[in-house]
Amino acid sequence: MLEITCNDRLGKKVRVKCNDDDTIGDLKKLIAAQTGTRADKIVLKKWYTIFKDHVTLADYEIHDGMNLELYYQ
Amino acid sequence: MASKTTAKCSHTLDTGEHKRISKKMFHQHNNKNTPSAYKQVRKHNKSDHTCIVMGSKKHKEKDREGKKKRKHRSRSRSRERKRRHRDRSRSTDRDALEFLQKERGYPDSREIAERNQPQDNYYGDSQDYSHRDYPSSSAMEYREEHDNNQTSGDGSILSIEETNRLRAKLGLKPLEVSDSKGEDKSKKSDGVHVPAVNLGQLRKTESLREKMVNKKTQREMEKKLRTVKGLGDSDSEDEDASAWVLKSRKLQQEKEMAEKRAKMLEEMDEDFGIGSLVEQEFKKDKRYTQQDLRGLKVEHSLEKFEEGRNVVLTLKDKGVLDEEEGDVLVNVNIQDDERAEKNIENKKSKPDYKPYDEPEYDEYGMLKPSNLLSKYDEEIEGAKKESFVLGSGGSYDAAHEKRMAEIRQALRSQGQSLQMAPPTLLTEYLTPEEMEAAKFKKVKKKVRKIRSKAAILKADDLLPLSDATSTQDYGSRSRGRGRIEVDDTEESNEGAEQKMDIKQEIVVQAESDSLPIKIELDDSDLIGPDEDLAGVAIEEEDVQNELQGMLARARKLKLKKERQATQVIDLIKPEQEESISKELAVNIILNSTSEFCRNLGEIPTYGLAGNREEDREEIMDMELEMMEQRKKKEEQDETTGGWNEVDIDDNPVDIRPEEASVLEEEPIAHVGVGSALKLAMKKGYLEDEAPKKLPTLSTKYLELQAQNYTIQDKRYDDLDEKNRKRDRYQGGMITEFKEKDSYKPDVKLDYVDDSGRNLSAKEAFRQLSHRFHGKGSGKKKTEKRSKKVEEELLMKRMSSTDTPLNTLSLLKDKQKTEKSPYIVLSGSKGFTSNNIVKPT
Repeated sequence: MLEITCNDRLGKKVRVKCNDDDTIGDLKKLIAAQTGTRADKIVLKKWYTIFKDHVTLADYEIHDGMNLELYYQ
Repeated sequence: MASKTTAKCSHTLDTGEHKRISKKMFHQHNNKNTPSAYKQVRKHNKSDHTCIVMGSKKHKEKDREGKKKRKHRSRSRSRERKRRHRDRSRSTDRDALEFLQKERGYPDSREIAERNQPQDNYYGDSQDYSHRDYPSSSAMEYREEHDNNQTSGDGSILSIEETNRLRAKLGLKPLEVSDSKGEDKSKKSDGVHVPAVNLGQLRKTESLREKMVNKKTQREMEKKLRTVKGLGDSDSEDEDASAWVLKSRKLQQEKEMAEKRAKMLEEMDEDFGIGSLVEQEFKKDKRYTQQDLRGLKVEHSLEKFEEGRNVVLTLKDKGVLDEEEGDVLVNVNIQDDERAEKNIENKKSKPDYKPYDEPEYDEYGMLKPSNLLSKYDEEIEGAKKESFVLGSGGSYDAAHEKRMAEIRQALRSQGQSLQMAPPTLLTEYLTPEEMEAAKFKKVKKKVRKIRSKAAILKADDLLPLSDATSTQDYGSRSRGRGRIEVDDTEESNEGAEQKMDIKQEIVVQAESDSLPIKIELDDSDLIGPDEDLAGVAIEEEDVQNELQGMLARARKLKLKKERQATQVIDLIKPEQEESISKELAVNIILNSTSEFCRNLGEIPTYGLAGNREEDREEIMDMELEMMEQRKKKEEQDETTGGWNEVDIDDNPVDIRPEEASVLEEEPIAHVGVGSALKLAMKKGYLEDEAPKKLPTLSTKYLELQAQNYTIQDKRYDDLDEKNRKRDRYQGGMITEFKEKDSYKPDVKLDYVDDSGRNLSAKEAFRQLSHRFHGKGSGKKKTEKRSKKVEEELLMKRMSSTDTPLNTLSLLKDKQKTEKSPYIVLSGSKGFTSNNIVKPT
């Protein structure tokens, strides 16, 4: 289990618990549940890499306590 | 728990109060997410606490209560932390909390969470700001359910159960909770470092295992072998001597018993009197006679035995185990002979491969097929040996063999050998036989028997023969000798003769007019007089009529042509008559194909429209007549009714009817010169006023004509398109100027300037160009050019022996006049240079 902080810099910051082998899509769903935005409108970024839905967190080497940028499309 | 702690440390502030303070602090820093703020709060609390403690106790007691204080502090700190945790349970890191709790000796994060719930309820006032920043409805809904766990702050956090529930809703597997942290760590360490396997130990264990296996297999083998007897282990039965003795005794006893039995049987035989009989049977005829030789095989060829000579034959040696039946008789000497023969044969060392060897024949003289690699036959199948079997009485009858030999001989004599006779040298002289052959044979005169028969002709013979000739006419004679059968084919022959006459007549007429018109009539139209018409069925009248009609047309045509010719003659001068007459000597050939072709070219509406011309009419008359006749017939048919016949070939397809109607009818050029002229007139190749300028003028007047001959700038290309097209097909000016064939003028263009000097091409062009542009070159250039021309002129005039100023000739003249061999060039008396004058 790991916990990730997602922050759009407009007032939403959530900490999400998730598994290593969750996909980004799953993470988005979780974020959606916590923030109340639709999952398909969420874009997760780290610097300039936009994370793709079908890839797991482990593959993106997202570790515990990492900060992801939260954008909306 | 909180109450407990407060009870324990009475000197500290009331927890409620403390809480209030801390809460205040939080209110201040509520919206700040930064850890610095958090730290501040912490620090503040700590300091607060300490100051309170300090306030409550006196400085003197400080040392004494040092331990205690420390203890308190720690306790209070823990309490504080707990509180803080309660306050900001959602804002702090869960893991960090858990870690802390573990340090403290708390059992599990979950338990804490459970414990926290009522505590949170206990601090009911903390709920009011927990809702603050959650705008979305779904999140709100969710929060209503799990109100107690939620705190806001810098971000929203869900507990593990909450997340698990959420994940279950989303269809994800539950979180891998950090219960198995140790395992996780071990897992992680797996990846990091795995201690190397001790190879030595591994080898040891391996060897041990091998030993064990070996032992096991050995044991099994031994177990197996225990049941099987070895070679050394003797049978237990024969082992002792007593048993052997017993065995041998038994055998002896048996023998004795058998003897006894035999005796018994003999006695019984004696009793019955059979014994003598049996003996007789056995002893009967023991001699070996000739009869016994029957069926014995003698392994020699029959030729080895000669009549009247004794040969001792012995039984052939035989292997003991040989199962071959029958005895074989052999003579040792003959065998030796055979062996020697074979040796000699082997010594000859014949070549194995005999491609052109004579073929072998079998006993009946038939060709024996030779096997491939027959040389190995002997080695494979063993040597073949000739043999014969003795018959009854030990004799062998060779008569059969003899007969066979005879037959073979006969057959061989019948065969033809393909061998050529050996070549012989030719002698230069003829042999007597050849002489005989070379003599000329007298040619016998062949006396014709027929003649002799004819000579003896009798009246009786003659009569039936003549009859036969009269009745059986093969036609050859009548055809060959022009004899005319009178009876049947008279009429047809008459017709033929008539035709011939007509033809001759035509020719004669043509000759007389110097206009020979040859009329060729095809076989289909006219049948020659020398053709045998016997048996040919013709509608003679029809043919004759047709022919007559045709001839009449031809005559008419001829007359018409004459008329035309006279017209032309009128037009052209009488001097040209010759050439014209030549021109008019056109051969008109009438045959079926030409007729057909002419028909094809005809304008279909021509005859029907009534716009025909005179000449046309003449030519077409025949066809038209026939057509008319057909039409009449058709009309008749129509009147009668019934089937109508379709008129097929008369009217070819209408090609350009509108042209025919719109344009004036064109005269046909090919009929005669007159019509050709007409056509030329119409087309404008010729002009009415100048008929003398015909292209067909005779060579005599050509020169005269040429004097005032001017080229008329006539452009044929501005005739309109239609005319041109027609020209292409019907021929406009096809006639060529044959007379001018040899005329090839040698043209040379010379350009001359004003003074009459010949100009080069370059100069000529300059002149032309100047004239064209209306301006010449400038003054200087003209001067230069004129100078050049002058120089050139001078150069031409200059003699090769003198200077350009002719000084030499002047000098000579002077010398002549002076009569001196010198000239004084300077000085008052002599010449001055002035005296030498330039030649003009």
